[in-house]
Amino acid sequence: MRERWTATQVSALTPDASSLSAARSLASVSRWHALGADDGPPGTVWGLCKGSGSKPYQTCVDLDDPAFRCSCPSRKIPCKHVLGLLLIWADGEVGETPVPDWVAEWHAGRASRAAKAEARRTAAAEPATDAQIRAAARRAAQRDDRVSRGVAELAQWLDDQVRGGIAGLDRAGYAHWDGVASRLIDAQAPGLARQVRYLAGVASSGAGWDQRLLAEFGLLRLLTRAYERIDYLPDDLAATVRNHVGFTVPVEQVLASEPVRDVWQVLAQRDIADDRLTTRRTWLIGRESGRPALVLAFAAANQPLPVDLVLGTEVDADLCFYPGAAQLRAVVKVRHAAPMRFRSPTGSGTVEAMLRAYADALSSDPWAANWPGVVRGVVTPGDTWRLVDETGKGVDVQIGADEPWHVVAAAGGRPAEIAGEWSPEGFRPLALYVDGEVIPA
Amino acid sequence: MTGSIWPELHATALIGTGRKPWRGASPTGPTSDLVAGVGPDDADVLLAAGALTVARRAGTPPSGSTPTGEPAPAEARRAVPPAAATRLRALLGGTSSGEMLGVWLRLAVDRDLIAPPDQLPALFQVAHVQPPLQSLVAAVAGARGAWLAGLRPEWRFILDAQARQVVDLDPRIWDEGTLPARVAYLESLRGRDPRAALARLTEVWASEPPAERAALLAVLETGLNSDDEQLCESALDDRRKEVRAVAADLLGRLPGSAYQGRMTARVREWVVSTGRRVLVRPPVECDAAMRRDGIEVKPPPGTGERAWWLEQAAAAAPLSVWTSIAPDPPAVLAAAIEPGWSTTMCRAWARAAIRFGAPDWAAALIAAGFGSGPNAEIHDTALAASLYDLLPADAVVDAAIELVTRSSEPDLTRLGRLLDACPAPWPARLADAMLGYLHQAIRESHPTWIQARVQMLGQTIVNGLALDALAAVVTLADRVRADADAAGLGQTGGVRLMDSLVRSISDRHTMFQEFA
Repeated sequence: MRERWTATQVSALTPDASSLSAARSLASVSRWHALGADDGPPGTVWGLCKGSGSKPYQTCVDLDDPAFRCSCPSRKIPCKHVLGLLLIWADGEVGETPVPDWVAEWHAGRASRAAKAEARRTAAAEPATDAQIRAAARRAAQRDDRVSRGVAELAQWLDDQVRGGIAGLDRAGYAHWDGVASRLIDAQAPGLARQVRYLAGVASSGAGWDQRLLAEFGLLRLLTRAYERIDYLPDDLAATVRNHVGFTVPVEQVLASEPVRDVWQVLAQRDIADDRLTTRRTWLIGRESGRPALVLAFAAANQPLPVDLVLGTEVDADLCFYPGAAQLRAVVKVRHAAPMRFRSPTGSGTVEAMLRAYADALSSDPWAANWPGVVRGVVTPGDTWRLVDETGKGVDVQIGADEPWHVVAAAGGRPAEIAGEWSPEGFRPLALYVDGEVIPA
Repeated sequence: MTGSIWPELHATALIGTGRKPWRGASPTGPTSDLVAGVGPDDADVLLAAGALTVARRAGTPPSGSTPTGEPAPAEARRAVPPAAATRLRALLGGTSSGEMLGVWLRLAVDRDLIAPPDQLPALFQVAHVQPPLQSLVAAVAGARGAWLAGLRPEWRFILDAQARQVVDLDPRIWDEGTLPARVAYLESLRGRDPRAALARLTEVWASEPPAERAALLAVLETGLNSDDEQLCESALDDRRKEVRAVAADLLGRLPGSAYQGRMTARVREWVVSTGRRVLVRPPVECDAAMRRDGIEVKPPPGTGERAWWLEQAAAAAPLSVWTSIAPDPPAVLAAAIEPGWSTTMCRAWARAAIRFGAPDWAAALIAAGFGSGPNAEIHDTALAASLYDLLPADAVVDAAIELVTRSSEPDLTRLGRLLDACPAPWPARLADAMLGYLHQAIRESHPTWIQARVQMLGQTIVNGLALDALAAVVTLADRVRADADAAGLGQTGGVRLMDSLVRSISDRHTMFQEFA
């Protein structure tokens, strides 16, 4: 019998609070015609939910490579029926029953789709014809050319800012930054464009903005200089510079690299939404190696995000890392076992250890903006919020839209494992491990 | 700043190299290697700034020993079951009504359970803007909640509310506590030993800050007795109006007090029965003695001065005084009051009935149409609602059933008051009658009427129905749907209303089971 997820972990999958409310109402055995769990493989929970129509909804969950299916018309993933089913399962009220045919068909369908995708990837990796290679090389050369001109233009613009003086840029207005950012988009350097847009926020960030803006200008100017000399840089650093400039690496190429096998713990998640895109940052840490990894997922606004990595679970899997000097971003290549709950994250340490890890990362990638950390300590509220470890050393906590009072409340002033992101602006708590339970922050 | 040349770089960048040319640097200190090659170009200013920034980020030291404060004390009470915790998370995160949150809180409080700690800040924020929920939230907050509330001045109200819920309080609170805590202390002492509480209050009365006196004096309402008369009587001369008002109110409730005697004398003088008619003759001036007894001089808008003085005096006189007009309340109400004074007298009687808790007067006033029909506007609606609360539960239930079964268009204001006064869950006979009436209202009414009126009625029914009434509501929903299908109407307002009722009641039902 596998260890079940907790209700909190199921809640963390919820796309919005109204779904959770509806799911809680469905999480009663009486609302279902049939319920069953099968250890698999693949581990499965399924049920037939009484709906408003005559035909019950068929709902099932793959627990090994988390995925959901429901015959209801909702476009939310997971829908309330899936969540309700999982809540009943989390409560331990679903007995072992072999899966019915429709579940087996779904598993078979997923397996065949996965096989086809794999076949497509293999086909894409096939050697191309000479003509294709020549065309690709020509396109790459064109892009390199455009990016180089964009980078030179940005360098010139940065120098111009310093020649004219940065005093007053806090009132420069959006157009001052946006024009440069747009030209960088045209120059196919979206990474640089994003950083220039970020500068607009730095300039209007209140007291001390001029110090921070000079720092960011300096980092960006270092990046343009590094790109100008990219041919002389070691391969890893060159890949990092290209990544910051905005070159992407095809996922097929990443998957072709040497995988790293470990039991990866899903430490924390953070969704960052802008008007068009939601980015889900999932932080992992290797249980054996202590190595951190970042898995990114994207969805258009109001579209469901993938939920294959469940907070507070660990999975034995192969990860492939994107090339670069301080490798962090990764994709899951193969899972070797079903995810299991873990009670306390590995590698939990002191504030100093977290700062040292970031310093190490900077020595490979000077532009690394943040780094994951797990600190056993206490978050203390105040005029300045702090994270204080058991040795009494502390760092500032970064306050977003809301002060993280629920972190304080959940820990009750006792040391807990607090997972989050460290950045020069401060520590951002993302998840809390208390009494063997994970609580998203 | 790391690196001795940062301030120079910063000053140069602020003004601009155009005006303050950069001549390169001759750095010293630990980062000198980093910027040793910095030349005189504009780019060099930024490159040096960039290098120093990386160095500074890599060298960020932790802050020294920061005190973390005392951890929360251990919790003595049990937490709500996991399913109920998930429900709370959903209620707090979503757009669901505050009403459901209230139901959840009462379920937890009834079982003496505490809320999951990570949800406390969200609960406190809700209670902050919804004061009626504060005592419930304080009750489920537990020791963790008290600890948490102590960290944030905005959440002080949780501590105050918890102090009121504790029976055995530390006597030091009386000397050192905040006003709400002192009130709580005095209340708890008063509940156990009225005489000791009075002694405590009398001891410090003269030295209490005027602003606190009113709240402390009001505590005497619990266990009010003739021992309290002296202090209250002296408080009628207090400099502060709030204190005088509390004193007058207490004396008015105290049987046989000199204050009641004075009010009785006034009423006897001003309202005189000739046998055939009741003459009303309030004074033309509010004298010092009247003012001392708490009679407010200035009437509220729309009320005459003399009527206002009469209303206040008549509301404070014991109801027995009216036997001089007629032997029982219905007869008093039927007496021929001098034209123009009957509204004033009815309001005064209603206030007296509420103050002295007189169900016979409440029943008589309601039967005489107080606060309903044409009187709905001129009589105070809050007064009318309080009158219904005085009626015995059975009588309210009977009255509500009679109202909806006798008449096809009952007075909805009156019905609403009666239903509000029926303790939930309703007895089955009332639930059946209300569902029958709801069915009839849906069948006979105009679609827009369903939207407004029946919707309101529906919510009241949800609040009143016992959890085991779910089956009956589902049956009714099926019938309403069948009626609509038979008429070829499909999704009518009635169908939607019944669906939402079924959902609300089954949600409550599920919530209840989540606490099992």
